[in-house]
Amino acid sequence: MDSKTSYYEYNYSAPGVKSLIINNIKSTWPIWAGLTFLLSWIIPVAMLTIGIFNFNGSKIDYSAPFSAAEFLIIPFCVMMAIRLFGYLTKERATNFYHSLPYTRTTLFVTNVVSGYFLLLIPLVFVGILTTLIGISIKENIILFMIKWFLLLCAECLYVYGFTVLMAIIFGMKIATYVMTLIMAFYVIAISNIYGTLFTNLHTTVQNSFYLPDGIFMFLSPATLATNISVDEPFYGLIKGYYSFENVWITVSQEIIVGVLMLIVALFLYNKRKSERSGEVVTFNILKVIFKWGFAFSFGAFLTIFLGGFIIDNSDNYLAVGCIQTGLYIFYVVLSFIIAEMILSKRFNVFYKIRFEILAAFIVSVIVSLILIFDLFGITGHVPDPSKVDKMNIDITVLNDEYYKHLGDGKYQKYYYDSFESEKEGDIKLIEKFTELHEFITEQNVESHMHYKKHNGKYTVVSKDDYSYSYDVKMYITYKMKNGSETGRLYMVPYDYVEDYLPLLREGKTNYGEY
Amino acid sequence: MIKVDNVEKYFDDLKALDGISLNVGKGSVYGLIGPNGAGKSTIIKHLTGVYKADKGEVYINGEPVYENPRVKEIISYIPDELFYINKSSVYQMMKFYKNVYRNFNMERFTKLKDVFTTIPLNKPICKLSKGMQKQAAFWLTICCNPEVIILDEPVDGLDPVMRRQVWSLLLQDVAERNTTVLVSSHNLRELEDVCDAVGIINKGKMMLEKSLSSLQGTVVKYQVAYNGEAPDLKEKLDILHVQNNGSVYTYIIRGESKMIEDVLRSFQPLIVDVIPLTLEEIFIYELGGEDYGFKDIIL
Repeated sequence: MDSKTSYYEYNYSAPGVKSLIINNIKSTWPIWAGLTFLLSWIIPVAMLTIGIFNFNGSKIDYSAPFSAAEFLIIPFCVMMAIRLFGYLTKERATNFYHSLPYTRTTLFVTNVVSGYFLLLIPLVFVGILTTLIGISIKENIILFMIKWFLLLCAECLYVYGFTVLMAIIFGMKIATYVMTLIMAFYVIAISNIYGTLFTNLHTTVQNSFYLPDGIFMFLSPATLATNISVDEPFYGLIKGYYSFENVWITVSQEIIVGVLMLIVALFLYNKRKSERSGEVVTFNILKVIFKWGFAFSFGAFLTIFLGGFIIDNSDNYLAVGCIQTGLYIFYVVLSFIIAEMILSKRFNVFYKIRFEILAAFIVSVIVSLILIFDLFGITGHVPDPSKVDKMNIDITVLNDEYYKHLGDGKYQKYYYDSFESEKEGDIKLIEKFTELHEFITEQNVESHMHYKKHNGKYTVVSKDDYSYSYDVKMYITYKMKNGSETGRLYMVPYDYVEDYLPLLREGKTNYGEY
Repeated sequence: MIKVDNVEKYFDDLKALDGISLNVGKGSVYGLIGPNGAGKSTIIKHLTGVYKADKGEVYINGEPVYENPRVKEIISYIPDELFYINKSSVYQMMKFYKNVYRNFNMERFTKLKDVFTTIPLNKPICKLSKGMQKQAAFWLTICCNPEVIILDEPVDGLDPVMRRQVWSLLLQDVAERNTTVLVSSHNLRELEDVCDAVGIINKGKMMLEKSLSSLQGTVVKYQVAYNGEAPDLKEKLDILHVQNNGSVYTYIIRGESKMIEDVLRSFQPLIVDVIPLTLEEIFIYELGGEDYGFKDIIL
């Protein structure tokens, strides 16, 4: 009689596992070879070239290609996961693999582990090569490379784990790609879309989630060619972005979440029925989530982007609100029908889901009412200053061509300035700016008069000529003591913020003018 | 060797298998027959560990098949729709199977090159014709030295010479290694030649499961000529089908042949002849009662 130990030994030392690994290496070679080439090209080769041709002998900022690598590995992780679990999208292939003498756990673990190690090969190769080049051009690079390598390993695990989970849930290759993309940016996309929808319904307020400008820097390793001189080439990366504390937190978070997603994926894989291969969503319970999630996210997306063609820049906010709401309800219901069409892969679905359509209509009306009347007080909510850890205020005066009337025939030109200030620990300043925030939310400004100087005379700018409703764009970001963050974007008249501008320079401030 | 115990399988609302049971003895060739959509491929996917039964269990060698590599290693399966990994050639697939199946017989693989002479070793299998792909599947399957071979429409696409060749190889394997073969096919003429037992399934249920000889003994075909009008036999015999040509009547009757002959002779017919019943006729007339029988429709 076999012991339990021998059973597991049998499973995990099955001779076929070697075959699977060899097969995985062969079938994914364009992915790992492509990633090796790309990383080699943008990091060690670029570094060597610039190091050699750095005729003026100044120190160079190498941050861009390292940051670019973080961004570029993402599609490779996605492709690796979908390549290795692609058999789940074809019934014939699924039947073949599931009839082989492995347990599903063996099959899953072999694919996941081999795929992850294949992704690490380019990182190890490029890491060693870069370190050697760094040493040869006399850069102190070893500590930095260790941190960079750890970060990328963790990021790979996170993205790879996420895509594996998507590949188990979705039974069509295209659906897996699309849903990986959608789900990856789900929070940002949805908050942006609903934030924009909110803005259109509430003219002065925008709930927005915005990305730092720096992220776009990742797209172009060519920034390296700018040959920026700095005191220490890796100073910024080591001391700032890649501080030890940040590295360990990020690495730990990504590893924990990545492993958790893989555990969930394994659990679902063992529950996944072979006969579901080729279906868009392979678990019945997730079909409901897919349908409603798709309806409300895609419905809001269509309202914003297609609604823009219908609604012009009307000042009649009531009319705009009505049209917007009508469009929203229509597009949510339409998206619900589209979701059913995608799931059942046929057009004629209307009769089958007529009651669900009615439910989608009712829910979309309720959501519209919540948005219109701000039932949860989202727009008016200002955080309690005592619970705020940090506060960031970014104020940009949008136009320097216009003047405001001070009275008695006096006019003052608007400033063309931008202030960015981070208030940390200064409770009085935080209280002051939360007061400003409250003041803004309480106002209901619909128009603002602007004047333009022409031949020494001030004339009112007509609404047709004036593209800005308000003069100042103001971002307020709160980082709360409980770790959560809240961001708001307001377009407000210059008068509102004028008195606060000097305060931006007070306290522990990190401001810039440009 | 193979035991399917009261298996049920649902595809959403469709009940594909409805409490099906079957038994296949070691070293026998079992034919699984049934109309399209009866559940043959579904039960085969349970036997190969691909599908999990919603109810009931599938055993091979007394052990459940699903998620059991020890059992799956002794099974080889040729599906109706073949799949080969990533444009693999026969040679590459051989290497793969050699690692996966510990009993893979390399010597046999080399010997069988003389049988499958038209199959190129290094060309991707997916680029071969359908018949050649099937041959490649047989070649690799036989070399795995399995204890159980499961075949879904195995000779579909093979030319008559290769059909004979393939069956000959399989039967040789059964004779020499006591291999158990379960085969699903619509080619009943062929099954009749090779099967020891058959199971007829319809609508996910096992209708009939018997050895071929006993099956042919339970449904019989008689040709009877009467001197005058034919008697009404419906109340005395279980007649599945009747056809007449002048005074000659052909009956397909379910029951024990001695008793049937006694009843027929009691009406003093001119001739009573027993005609051997083919598997195809048994299939057609057994399913006739299930609203699936051949209908004499003239359009």
